[in-house]
Amino acid sequence: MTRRTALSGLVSLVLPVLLVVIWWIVSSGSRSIYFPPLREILTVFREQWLFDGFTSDVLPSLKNLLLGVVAAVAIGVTIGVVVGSSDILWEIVRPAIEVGRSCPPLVLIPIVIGIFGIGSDGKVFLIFMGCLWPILVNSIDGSRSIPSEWLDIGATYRLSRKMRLTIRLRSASPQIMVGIRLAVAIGMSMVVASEMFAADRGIGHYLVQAQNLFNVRGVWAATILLGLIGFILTLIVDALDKLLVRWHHEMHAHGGGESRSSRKQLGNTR
Amino acid sequence: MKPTAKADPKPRTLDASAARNFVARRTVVWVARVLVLLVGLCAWQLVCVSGGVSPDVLPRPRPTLQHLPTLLSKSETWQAVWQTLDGWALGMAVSLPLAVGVGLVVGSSSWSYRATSVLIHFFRAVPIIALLPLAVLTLGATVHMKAFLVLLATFWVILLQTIHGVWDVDPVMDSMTRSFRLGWLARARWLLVPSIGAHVATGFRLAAVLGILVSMGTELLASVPGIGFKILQAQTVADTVTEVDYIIIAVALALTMSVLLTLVERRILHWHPAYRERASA
Repeated sequence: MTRRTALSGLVSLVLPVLLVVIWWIVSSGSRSIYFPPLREILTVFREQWLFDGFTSDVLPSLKNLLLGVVAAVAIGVTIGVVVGSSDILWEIVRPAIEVGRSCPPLVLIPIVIGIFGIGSDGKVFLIFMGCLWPILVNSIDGSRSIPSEWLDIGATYRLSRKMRLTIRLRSASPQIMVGIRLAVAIGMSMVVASEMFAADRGIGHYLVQAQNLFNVRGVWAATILLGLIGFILTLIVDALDKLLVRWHHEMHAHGGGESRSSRKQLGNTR
Repeated sequence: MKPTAKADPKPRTLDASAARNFVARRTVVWVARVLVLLVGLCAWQLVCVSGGVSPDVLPRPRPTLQHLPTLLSKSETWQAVWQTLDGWALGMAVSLPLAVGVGLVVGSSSWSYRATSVLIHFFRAVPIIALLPLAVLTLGATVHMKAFLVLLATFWVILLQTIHGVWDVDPVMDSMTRSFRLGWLARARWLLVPSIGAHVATGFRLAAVLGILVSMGTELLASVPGIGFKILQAQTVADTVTEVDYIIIAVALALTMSVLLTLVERRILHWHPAYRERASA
């Protein structure tokens, strides 16, 4: 089994490595302005982002992302659990939530930057707005799909309100993690987009500058960096997911889990 | 979003009190919904009146809503909506068949999935907006560039759903079609399309909404004609009323898209277990 796992890990790396090697070889003699040799891109990457540019341009952006996501989790989960535990409340706010979740967060950038200015307050708010809806919707969904036996147990044992809330949160947590995963991806896009629109620093700002100065290598290097950051963020969320809701994955790993997981696949809106 | 029995209490019998309860409940819900809307509008008005936000950046609700019909009667507004949908449709038209095709191949064996999974998850995690400068440099600020970004954003969503669909094919049904020696056409008709179709439809809906978002974002950040560009234009000339109106139109467009696709999906897939469960639960 372990050999098989190791083998499959190896197989999964073949294609990515192969693609990078092909890119390296094909582009090595490139004279095109738009597709510079990978070697030169990586030189720019090293000079620009390891590590001076990283601390000055990337870390502040990541801090904004963290603040926005944390605020969205705090507010989204709170409202989500409250709304999700009452049928009539859910019916009442449903249209409002449908509108909110449909609102493309990118189109809010001009007006929010107009209100907050180009500092980081507006960016945190934009990230928050982008992240709130997937977390809220999934918290409501998770809270509503609590197995009715769990509620019955809580009532039969006359558990305190706090205990019953804990049960509900626990039951909703796998779905909440789904929301957080989506939120982090949206949040990252919001970070870049808001910095591209108006900022005095940050990697999005750097990207636009490089584009305007026709610094093609700089654009390629920054794009690669953003891709890597996005990927690492999803790995972090995956690890968090394993840590927090391992019981859920274990519960559904063997038989009977299929129907629920396939329903989830269909049920995840956004 | 699944209505439970309690959330949708259709009176099945002609029990008068049950019917009365149902009507009372619906009335309460609708009154409360209107209240939510009013509270939202009041909050907007309050923010403007309190002086915390300058009227130069956030207009008051009344003039904004009054201007909306004027804007909607202009042909340039509808032209912008059309331009947004144009780039979106072009991207989706390539993305859907491509992603489904690749998904069928990748999902069909565990090794092909293992070989590509890192790649798929990497590209899915790339913030799509980050590719905008590169796309503008190589393709220019054109509708094709917009369509290309829509394609890049939506491809992975549909691909992953298709792969899950292939995994979801019931192995018993699969061996049955084999032992009955059904031809490939019959196999596709009775086994593959029903199993995979549901996942593809969901993937398409998620991708379509994401695609609209990418389309508008591209317009806003790269000045490509469309609703996003209209928002930017209004902001540049400090016409905040028009700006907010265009934002409202953008939200309405995304909402319409998502509601329509959900309805279509439910209509086509009413037989699917995931939907049957919701309807009867």
